[in-house]
Amino acid sequence: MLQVFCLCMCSPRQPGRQWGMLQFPMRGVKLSVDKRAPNQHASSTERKTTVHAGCWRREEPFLCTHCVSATGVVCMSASTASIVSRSPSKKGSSVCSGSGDSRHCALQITNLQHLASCCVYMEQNLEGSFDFQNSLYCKVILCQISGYIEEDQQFQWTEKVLGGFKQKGLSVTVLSDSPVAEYKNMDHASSSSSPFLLCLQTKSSTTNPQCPLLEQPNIFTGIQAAVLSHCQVNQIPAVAYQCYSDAISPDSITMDTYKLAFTSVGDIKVGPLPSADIFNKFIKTNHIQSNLYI
Amino acid sequence: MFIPVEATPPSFKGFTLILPAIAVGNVAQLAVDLIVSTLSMKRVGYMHTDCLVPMVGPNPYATSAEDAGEIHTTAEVYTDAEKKLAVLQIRSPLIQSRSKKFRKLLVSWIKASEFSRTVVLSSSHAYQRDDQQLKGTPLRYLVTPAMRTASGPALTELGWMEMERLSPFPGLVEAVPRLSIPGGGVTKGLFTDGCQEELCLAVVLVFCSEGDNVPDAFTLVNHLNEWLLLVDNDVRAQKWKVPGSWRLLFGSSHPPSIF
Repeated sequence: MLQVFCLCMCSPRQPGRQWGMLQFPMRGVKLSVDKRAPNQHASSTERKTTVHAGCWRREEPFLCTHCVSATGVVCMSASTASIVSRSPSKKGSSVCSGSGDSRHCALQITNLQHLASCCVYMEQNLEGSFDFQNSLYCKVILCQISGYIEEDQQFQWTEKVLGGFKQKGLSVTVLSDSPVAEYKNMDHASSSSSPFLLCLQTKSSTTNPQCPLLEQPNIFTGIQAAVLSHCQVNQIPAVAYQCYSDAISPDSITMDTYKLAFTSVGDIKVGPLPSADIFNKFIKTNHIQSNLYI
Repeated sequence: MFIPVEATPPSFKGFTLILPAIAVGNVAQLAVDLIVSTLSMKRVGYMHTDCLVPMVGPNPYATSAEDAGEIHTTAEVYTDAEKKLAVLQIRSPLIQSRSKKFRKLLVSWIKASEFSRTVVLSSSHAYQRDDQQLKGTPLRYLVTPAMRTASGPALTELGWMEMERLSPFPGLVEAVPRLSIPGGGVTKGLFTDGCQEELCLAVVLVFCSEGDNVPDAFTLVNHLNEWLLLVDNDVRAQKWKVPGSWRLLFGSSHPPSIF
């Protein structure tokens, strides 16, 4: 059974994305996939894939600090890795061949126009070559979206990413967040009880979610809506969790809310939250937006 | 494109299709909500396309806790087999660069499904009415030549007003009057495509402004009911059932703790 986790960036705070990164220590290599519309062709000025060599113990988070780029993309290091650079004529699929004990793969999908990107991390138990299109050997795939995907590209993005997986045995979970001010409710106690988690699931989902279902008249929009629509139409079991929070920046309480999302997922064990040192490595706090009082 | 819910696709042959245009005040979409909710129509398929902005939500027509959690997507098709009625509901805006593609998709689906007639509900900006349009009823209709042959006399008998062709430059005698539906979205395009493809298509629209458009939706759906007789046309009875998704249309009220 293949689990795909999509972590959406819905706001600059990104608590959903940060939480997922903490709980999935993985390592691998980074590839590029052409995410653009089918009638566009790769140009010679396209960014090449980069590989950062290094290794770390499995207990530590996978994050390599010098990989955090301006777009907020987090990439991973591999102990020994070789990248097959993607040929411009090949769109959509990529082949990664790892060497040595490179057991995990990552796939980065980059939107060159808007600098939004996402990384897909996979855990596999097989050494040697790995074909993204053939997800037979993977158990969990983590897809991390660090930029905003435009409305007119959300459908194509979803088709491209989810279309790469075999539908049999596939199950999708989406984590996203939203300000509590956008939550419509007759009961005003909701703002005092934030952060809270709500979810929606497709018809074929057999998950018994541990959090309440989203009620009318609230809706999901954005990439989580695109993913859930795709799964509903193609009868893929999927659950989307949205955390409504009044916090501006990510904090441990908001991130702790997402624990409920993993209680009903089979093999994944939720450990205690990491220490402040590890948080400091990749969460930017006190980020000065204005130069008025410097 | 159309994806059925069940393994065997439903047959729409001989059905009447009602679809909304995304237009001023979303009146047509509200009217379609009333039709689906009142007739308790069953969902038979999705219109899965990249032409619309994606959205999902819980069941807007839920009547009990069991079906409240069922998710509904951007564009879905509902049917009432007894009345031979099919309804396409569209819940999010059209992506501007793909509006022509969406029209083509709809026209080819209508032709392939062999609907007996199609009714497009729409609205138009009230502030752009001509002097003559300011008088009388704010409701208008348009029919393709194929529909005029089929239902033209019935609409004339009902006393409905056909949409006027207006001069683009009022006062200029030489200017040729043309059809103009400002704020109607794809309505004019769909109507023109319907004429070209010889579809049996009618447009029913209301002049309105942005704001609380619930009364406009009731006006439109009551007017449509005079022709299609979807529900009992008794003036005294509460004909239409408001769906649960219409709660808090303008957001939650203020939290009391701010005072």
